[in-house]
Amino acid sequence: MKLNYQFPTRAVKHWDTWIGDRDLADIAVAAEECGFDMVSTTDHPFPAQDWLANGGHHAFDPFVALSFMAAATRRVRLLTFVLVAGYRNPYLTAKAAASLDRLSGGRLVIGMGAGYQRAEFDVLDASFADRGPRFDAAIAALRAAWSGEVVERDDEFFPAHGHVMLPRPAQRPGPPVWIGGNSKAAMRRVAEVADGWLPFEQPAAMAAITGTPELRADQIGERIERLREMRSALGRPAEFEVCFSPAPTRDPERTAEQLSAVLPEYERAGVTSVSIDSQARSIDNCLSEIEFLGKALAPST
Amino acid sequence: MRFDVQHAIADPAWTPEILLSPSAVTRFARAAEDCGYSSIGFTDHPAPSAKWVRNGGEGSSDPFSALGFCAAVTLLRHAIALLGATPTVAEVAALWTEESV
Repeated sequence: MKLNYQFPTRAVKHWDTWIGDRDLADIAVAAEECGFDMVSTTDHPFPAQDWLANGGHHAFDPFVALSFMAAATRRVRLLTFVLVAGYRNPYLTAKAAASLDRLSGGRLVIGMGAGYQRAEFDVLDASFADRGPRFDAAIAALRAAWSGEVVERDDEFFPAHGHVMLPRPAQRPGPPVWIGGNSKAAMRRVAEVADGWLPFEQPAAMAAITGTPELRADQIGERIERLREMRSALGRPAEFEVCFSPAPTRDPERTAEQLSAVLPEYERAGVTSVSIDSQARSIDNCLSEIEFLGKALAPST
Repeated sequence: MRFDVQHAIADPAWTPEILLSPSAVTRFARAAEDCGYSSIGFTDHPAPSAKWVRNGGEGSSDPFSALGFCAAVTLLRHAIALLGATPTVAEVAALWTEESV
């Protein structure tokens, strides 16, 4: 079982005092040294005050933050967790992703979601009502641009005629695309076009805020099985990456205890990675949590 | 007077060994700093037309991804340089304390 480390999103709001003399690179280096397979960032360029007051958080730009972390590390993969598909023109996203994939030596994973915050779509001049079809079109646009060929495509949302994006990403044909969320639409994208899935354990109370459907940990196996059937029926490889985010806890010891008990079960269900959503209150706690969880949970190599 | 150095843009037959490999961009950023430049730059051409590329256009890096990377490799070498200098016992003790909290 591989592990992702999502540094504390709550810290970003008061980053200067939280991080002190250290920086994001220290977190990435610690995660790499302690056996984590991935580090990640969220994507909220300009959140609305209402959402921030209801459990929302600030974020770094994912490409800037992950490039910074890539420069300090050699092995750990870099996950956008998740990039909101509709916030950016997909050709700009393709360019940022291709550059980061190059600069990291092919370590980028594009986690993408449909997004749910209408106000943030509005302020970014992004289209909310048709974000679903635009998301589908964006995935196709990313892959067309990553070909490095002259792109000629008619498309309802992102037509391109006679454009070329160089250099190509280091990974071929491009970085893997994993879809975030528990919805039927997210699962359809995993079945039809994506390389992986990022489901979140979602108690009913959280589901009410995020709008993504409730998902209990004991349901993950049946969902994965269903997706394997859907993919096989479409002639795609049945196996795919599944990075599951269990509901976070504040206490690393409790996290380690709970997770080590269920990891074998997750593995049997087809989960390939588990994401730790850190709640650490200080950088020192964050770094010692990484070490503790790495020792307790990372596969010994 | 301050000087900026702009990262090379490439012709369509650009070689990955020169542009955008982690080690090449690291060397570029550190060399610029060593040679006294006060800033480095990358152009912004995410999806140029094929015609423009054919006429001597470029392969380029996304400026935010590239500058994020360069910020880290220039910052980190200072940390390494600090550690590389012969430290006093007190400095070693201070580092040890910080890192073990």
